[in-house]
Amino acid sequence: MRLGVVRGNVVLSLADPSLAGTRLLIVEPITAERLSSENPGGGKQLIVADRLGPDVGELIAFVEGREGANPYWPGRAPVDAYCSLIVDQIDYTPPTD
Amino acid sequence: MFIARIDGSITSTVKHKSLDGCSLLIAQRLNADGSATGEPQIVIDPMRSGRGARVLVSTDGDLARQMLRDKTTPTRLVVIGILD
Repeated sequence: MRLGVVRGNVVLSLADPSLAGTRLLIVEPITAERLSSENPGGGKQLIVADRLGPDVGELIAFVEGREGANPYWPGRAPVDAYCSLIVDQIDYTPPTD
Repeated sequence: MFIARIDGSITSTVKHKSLDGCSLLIAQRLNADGSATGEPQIVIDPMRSGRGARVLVSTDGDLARQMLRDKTTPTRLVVIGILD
């Protein structure tokens, strides 16, 4: 899972039925350089399926790949990125050298 | 599988139910020379490795599903060993 900042969401007028009840977040992944900065982010934005409901500006962790569709099991969904959790607190101290 | 360094941890209250009670660590993927590569990743860690530990991380979603005993878990990365 990568970490990301929620920047917004998208709404579909017509969607695959399996996506009913799923929000689609616009997420900016967080790079190592900007993880401990005032303004985390820096990665290439992507769309992440979500059923937890984070607000804009909140930090999340999202899984990528086929595991993104696991929460829809035994059904199937065309999802390859899914919001696994909303972050409360980060404790990050990479080596400085 | 890849080698990573444990650089921290996160806490989360609102999360997929399969992650209740899991230790969630921040892992930085490493090259062979020890330099960092790629973005920090959140990994599940049954080994309870400490800060700064170098670990082997599996990217096998089947393993994550088995370990968490939940076919619906949205997770993939699991610590499967600590490097000497």
